Amino acid sequence: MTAGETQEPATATPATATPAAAATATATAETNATRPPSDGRGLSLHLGTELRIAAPGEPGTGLVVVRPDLCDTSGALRAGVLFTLADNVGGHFGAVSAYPDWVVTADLSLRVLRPATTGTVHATGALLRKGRTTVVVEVELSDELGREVARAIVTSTVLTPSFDVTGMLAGRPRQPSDPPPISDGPPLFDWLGILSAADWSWAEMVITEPLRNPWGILHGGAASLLVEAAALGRAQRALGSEHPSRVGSMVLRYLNPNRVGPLRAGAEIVGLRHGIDGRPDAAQVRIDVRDTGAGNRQTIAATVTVESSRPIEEREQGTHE
Amino acid sequence: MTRAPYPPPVHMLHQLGIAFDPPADGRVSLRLPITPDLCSATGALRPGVAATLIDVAGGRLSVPAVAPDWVATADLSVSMTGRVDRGSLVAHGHIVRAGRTAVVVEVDLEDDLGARVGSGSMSFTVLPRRDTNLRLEEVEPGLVAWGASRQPDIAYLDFAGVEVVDSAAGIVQIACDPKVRNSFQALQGGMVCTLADIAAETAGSMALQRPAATVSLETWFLAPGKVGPVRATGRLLVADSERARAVVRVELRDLGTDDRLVSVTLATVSAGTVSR
Repeated sequence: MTAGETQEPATATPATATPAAAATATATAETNATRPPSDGRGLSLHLGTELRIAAPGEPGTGLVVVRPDLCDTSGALRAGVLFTLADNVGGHFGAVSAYPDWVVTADLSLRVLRPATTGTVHATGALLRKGRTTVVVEVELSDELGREVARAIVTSTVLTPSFDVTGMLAGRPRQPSDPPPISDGPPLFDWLGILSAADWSWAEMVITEPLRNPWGILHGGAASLLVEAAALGRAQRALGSEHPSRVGSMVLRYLNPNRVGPLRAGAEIVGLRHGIDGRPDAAQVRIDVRDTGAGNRQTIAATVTVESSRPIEEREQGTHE
Repeated sequence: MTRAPYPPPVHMLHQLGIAFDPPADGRVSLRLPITPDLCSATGALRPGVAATLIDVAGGRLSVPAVAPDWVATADLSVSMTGRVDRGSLVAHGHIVRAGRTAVVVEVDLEDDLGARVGSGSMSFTVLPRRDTNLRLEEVEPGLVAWGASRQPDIAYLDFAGVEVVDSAAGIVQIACDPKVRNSFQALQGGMVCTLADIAAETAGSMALQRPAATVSLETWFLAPGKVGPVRATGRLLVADSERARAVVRVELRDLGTDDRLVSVTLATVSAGTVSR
């Protein structure tokens, strides 16, 4: 389904230490593997992200309710959840715009503007460009008070589908028979079964059934959560702050489908930024996601800015080292 | 068909004095000499100017990778983490993936001493070749060193014709002269980013009520700026005075083409130190 499925030669395998021996296990990968196979809605059902479509052929709007298990330690909704919602809305908008063709997300960029800590986050899209080969959609995510909490831009590649996409445009809404949203689930990274190296130089995740889309490929939103976990873990050490850190911005470029797994996200600090008090308050992290079960090919190139929540101390500019 | 050389003798790429060896094995390294007029009020190199180097690297890598087809830049991101205000900025670019429909390029930015000062990435859409596209053999072989016709007495932004329309509102514009156009006669991608950088810095500094500079930006190229003038307008999305950071959205519109939307940029502006 995804553009450019090529067979690429295997490249060097990263550190071969087994997660069990060398990693800090935040949960077992079986956590969600025991759930039944899904129709591609597993991630949405768990996160409670909804796409609401007023009429056939119209772009949908999205929403998600803030829950403790979807938040970080400071109580703010995880960037990957906002990313998933933006992907749903931006992807649907792109598909409506490209009809009768179909689209796949090529890259998605998210800026977190304010922490979303309570209530419902709503997402609406706006078409920036519709070309022959790409569609660009801007997604605004706001809280119940109408304050913008994040903004995303979704670039989709237009493809000629091998199936009639009309049914897909109707979305896959929640059914009465669906399990109700949980309210006391494990922290999201645990639910995803994310494991990491002790020094957070990498994080790993198994592709379980609920995380796959209808074509059997990992949901982009689930990939963004792996990227978020890897970036946060790596940056927290580099920032050396007792204050929690969170994602300020995240750009994911999809290179190849995540089909087999486990996926390994390698994290590298590009550099640190300093506040006007001269102390580090943001880290730029480059993430390289590879499908270890598919010749270790690279599937995602990502860049994440992780910001410390530490308030800066006023001081004379120019007096730092 | 004979075509005028690109870039022409009086051009932003000559004015910047960029030099590089031809790409090999999907990699290219470029060097930009830093002069004070390329820096913001905080004294550090503008990310918009670094974006120009990234744009050139991306073009040099992606065009041979898809030949005989051609590419259009879809988006470009740049993030500065270290301060560069003298010497040179060196960009090392490599192809991450060259597929049927898209090419992705990553770029590492270093100072003269090889210390990492930032990074960038770009994605390109692959397009069928048109007769108006340059041919590979029209791209200079061997070492390229632009700048022989550089005009040393004129500041870069003045050379380019960047005009501040309303500093309070963060509005700047540029006439679409040949000296700022790319090989298909549209406003050069690096100049698009430079305009967005200035508009974001203006809007962000105003909101934070202190001198601030753009530290990262990502630009989506939506339509070519063909006629001009092209106007950049910054709109504040959020200002966090506790952490001296603002996020600004910048739109570029081609006033000569019914205000057509040329690009959208999301930029982070910081009053902090992008140190060492």
